[in-house]
Amino acid sequence: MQYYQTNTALGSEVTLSVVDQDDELKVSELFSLMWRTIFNFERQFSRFLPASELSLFNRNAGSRQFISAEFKDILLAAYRLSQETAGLYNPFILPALQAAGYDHSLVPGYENDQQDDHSRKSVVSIDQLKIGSSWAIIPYGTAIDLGGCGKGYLGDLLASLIEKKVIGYWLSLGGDVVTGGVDDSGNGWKVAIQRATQEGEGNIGYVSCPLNKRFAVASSGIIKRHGQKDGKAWHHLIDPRTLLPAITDVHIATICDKSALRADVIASSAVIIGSRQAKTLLKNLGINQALLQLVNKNGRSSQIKCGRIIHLD
Amino acid sequence: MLQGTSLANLALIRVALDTNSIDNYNKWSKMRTYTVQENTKITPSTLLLTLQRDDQERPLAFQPGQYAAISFEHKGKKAPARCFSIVSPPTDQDTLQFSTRIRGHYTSALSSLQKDDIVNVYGPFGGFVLDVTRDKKAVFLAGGIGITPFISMLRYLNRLDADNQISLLYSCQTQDDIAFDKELLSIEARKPNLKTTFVIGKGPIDKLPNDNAATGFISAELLDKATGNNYAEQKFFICGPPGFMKTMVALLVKKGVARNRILTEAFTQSSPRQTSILRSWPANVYALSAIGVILGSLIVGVSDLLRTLPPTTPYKPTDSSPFLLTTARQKQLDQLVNTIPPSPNVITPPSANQTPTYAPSTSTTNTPAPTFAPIYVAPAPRTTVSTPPP
Repeated sequence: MQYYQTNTALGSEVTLSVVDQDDELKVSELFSLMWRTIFNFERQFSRFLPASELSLFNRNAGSRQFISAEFKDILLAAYRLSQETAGLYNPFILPALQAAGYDHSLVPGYENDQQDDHSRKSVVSIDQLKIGSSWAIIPYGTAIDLGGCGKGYLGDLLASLIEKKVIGYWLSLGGDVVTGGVDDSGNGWKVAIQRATQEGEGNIGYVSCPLNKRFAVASSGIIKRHGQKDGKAWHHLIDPRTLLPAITDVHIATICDKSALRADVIASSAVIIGSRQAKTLLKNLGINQALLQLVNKNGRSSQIKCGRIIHLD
Repeated sequence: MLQGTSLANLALIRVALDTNSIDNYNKWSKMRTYTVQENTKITPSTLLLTLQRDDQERPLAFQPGQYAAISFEHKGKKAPARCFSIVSPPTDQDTLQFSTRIRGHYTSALSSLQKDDIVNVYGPFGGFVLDVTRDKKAVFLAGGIGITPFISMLRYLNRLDADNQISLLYSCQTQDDIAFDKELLSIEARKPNLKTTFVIGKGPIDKLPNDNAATGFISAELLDKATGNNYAEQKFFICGPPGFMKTMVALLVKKGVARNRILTEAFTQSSPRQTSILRSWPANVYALSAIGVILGSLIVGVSDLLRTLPPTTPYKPTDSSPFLLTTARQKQLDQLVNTIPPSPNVITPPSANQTPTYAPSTSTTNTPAPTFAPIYVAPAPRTTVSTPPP
């Protein structure tokens, strides 16, 4: 039997679904475990919460700070992925992101929550992040945001918590979907891919996930999390080369990988770099299954697809 | 060199093994155990207590200017917790320093603490905090032992090598009452952005450099000099006895300084505002109250609790201070974590019509989810949608 549960977390809607025998007590305990992990993760790493570990870390930039084991893991992963993507993913981008306009939570009900303003700080390269055995330091006058790296990390973490306890599962964390096992018919999961329209409605196709393996499908794009500031339009994917919202023909990139963390970061990088160079980027990073939805200057849509498990309608 | 995937997997394995790590956040607000490293008098009446963090303890995450409550055992009895300003900077992860005037039984007991004695620390508390990135120009007005929060701030600025323009006016009765004078002058020598003026009420000032000494009280003329007659760009921090603060606030208001640019911290050892009994009351206090003084203790306790935290300038939404740590989402998350049901709440829809339709993550809710959602049994087969993340 398949069970699911939905809540608002991490700034978007999070849905968890598991397939298991008809054991409601066990399923309920698993859901409790996962939600507790998610809410604690948000409390610890949301940049919109002034009391989070991340906010305290940013506030004390310039000094060597004791960090939690999870924070260290995420920073190490961020460091490695920033190097892998040649700086297209850069956690130091937060000041530019806030300066562009993403300076408050976009979740209804929390827009007026007080938070730190880092918009006048500097953006530096990833080599300025120093990580020690139980400490880390970023330069004075800088600030970091985990972005998709945090959400991807959490997706992988949740999967590792439950994958040996259930027959199958899919976990949707605002664009990052992690699947494992089988659905309640004994087949592999199918993950639909949203069509790149401003309305955000309709699907363009789906991904056939492999049986009994953990598999992540991450989508990143510029059609969500956007707005206007001082008469200028912004979206949340900042090009670290210009420190402005990326000007790109890739409106949504969907990446499949074993790790949600890696898939999420690479999807954002593919959008930022644009279709011309994205193919080379994906090839260099060993991504075999991907879909790029393009919209050119005239508004004409097209797709670049690689891999056999992605099916277009 | 590890590939990204391998690294991520390693991280996952590590976190999965450490099952306690999920609740790490909750440990932040707990009492911490320190041991006395050093307990010295830096003036005949000023105590400097240096505490060493227990290896197993997470360091206290505080902002420069905040204070903490400490409690310890004295003659076999647990002393009630009292609040003291932290003088060490947040950058010191392993040690905490407190400073206080030795006056009364409690601080006398505190001064008798020996090396390796156990001290419990609760906190941090208070909104009397320097924002290093925004308070680029500030005037510190200290009265007597009210210098302590400023010491933490100045040490922090010095450690960060920050370029904030700070003027410190430090008022004392006599030159022998000055605490941290050598350190202040040493920081000033290294940082031209700091200007310290010791204002001595009575007696000679021959032990102080001429450029750093003045006699009498902090006057309008001294303020003019410290601010360069430019009051508009400065933020003013005042800490000292109530009379001192009242006088300083009146002076600044007379100079046309807006109230939201004046931050104050009540600081007097005789004031019950700073001497509060917190949750650390030992059990024997409750036992004693059960014997004969229940009513009296309750009245004293409640009145103390009502006045636990020293008054600071009220927070206004227009103020740029970022230190309002409890936001609507924070409260919501705290509530959600506390209401996650320990028992099953699986719901099977009674009919197909009442089965909730799965909404892909493109949808948004108009209001935050007020309670923990029930679990639904999904109609099979189902798919999910991968949409761009926020």
